[in-house]
Amino acid sequence: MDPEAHSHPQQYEPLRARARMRPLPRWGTAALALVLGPLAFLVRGSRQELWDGGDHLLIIEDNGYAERYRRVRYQEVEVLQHWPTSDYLQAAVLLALGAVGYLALAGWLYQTTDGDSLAIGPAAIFGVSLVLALASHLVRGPTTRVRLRTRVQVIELPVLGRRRLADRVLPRLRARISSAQEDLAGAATAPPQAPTGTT
Amino acid sequence: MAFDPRRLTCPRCQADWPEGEAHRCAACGFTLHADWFPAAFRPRTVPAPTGAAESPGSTTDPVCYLHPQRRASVPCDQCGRLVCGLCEVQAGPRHLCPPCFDAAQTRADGELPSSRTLYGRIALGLSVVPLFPPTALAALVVLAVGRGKPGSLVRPSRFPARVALVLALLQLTAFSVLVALAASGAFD
Ligand SMILES: [Zn+2]
Ligand SMILES: [Zn+2]
Ligand SMILES: [Zn+2]
Repeated sequence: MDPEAHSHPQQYEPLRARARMRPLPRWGTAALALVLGPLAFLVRGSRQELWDGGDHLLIIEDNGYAERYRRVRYQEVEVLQHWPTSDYLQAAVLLALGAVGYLALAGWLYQTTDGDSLAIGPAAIFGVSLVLALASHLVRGPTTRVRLRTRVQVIELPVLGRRRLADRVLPRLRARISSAQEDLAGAATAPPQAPTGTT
Repeated sequence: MAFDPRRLTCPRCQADWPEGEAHRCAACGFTLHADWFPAAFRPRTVPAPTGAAESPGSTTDPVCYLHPQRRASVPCDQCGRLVCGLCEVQAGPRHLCPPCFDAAQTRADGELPSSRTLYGRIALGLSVVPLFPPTALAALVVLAVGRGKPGSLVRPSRFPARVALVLALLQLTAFSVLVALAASGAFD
């Protein structure tokens, strides 16, 4: 480990991974949007971000007023698990059904009441917001889950909830972890070395 | 079974994920990608002493308490336990063992802060409420409380705080001028 890296204020490199944490699963938010319309998208958690601290991964949870930090030393990472999830499709189907339903309702009300119904506006707003949510969901692409285990705990990384983002960030994490554990890979087979006297 | 924060499970059937398994859950067949790193395969417990370990030479050699097969090189400044060069973590001027490094994160301030309040951003939020003296005053109070305290670890910019200060002062000045004009009868 480079002692110089610690005698100065820690320098962090952005991993350009940033996403809202979800109090509900994706299909749950989509289902809520069928009832609450655009208001459903106000139900959201803190923002999670990943930064590279050289010898550790910095996980930031930003609630708007404060940042909470967790650090995972690359040397401590034992395993990275990731897998695609099906809530991409579930949420897309729910949002599409809702969008079609509300827009059809708005159109039907417009035709049957000659545009006099007070419900036309809200139905159209619900329909359009669901269309926008669906478009944003589809553009961001398929969903994944990522978690890792260290010596002491299993940590979920909901920030890497989209495959495209995970595909970009995971190789960088793997490279960092592997190079941080190069010594360890050798130590597993090589006999113990004498201390190098670097204190 | 006691709660084990290290327990890695299959996402589908919640069975223990087999150590070293890269793809498939043995219990339910669920497939995922698991990248295993050397840290997963280092010994966790002190192995039973072999005959060689009874010799006087090896008992005087201090070993790392996390790597019983490696010679210790430095004591942890926090707990005093001996760790090897692989385990030692430098946090500013201190040498810590990995568990103490983790514990240090729970402290609010210091070399490894666990959180930082974003005074600048709070003040900015308050100061953009237009021409409302109480929020402008609140923004100034927040800025005063946060004065000299470190901001975000990764975005230490003072820019939001400065903008908040200017906006809050402008609002208070504008309000004072309005009050003074009203008092002097300018609006009569
Ligand atoms: Zn399973
Ligand atoms: Zn310690
Ligand atoms: Zn060690």
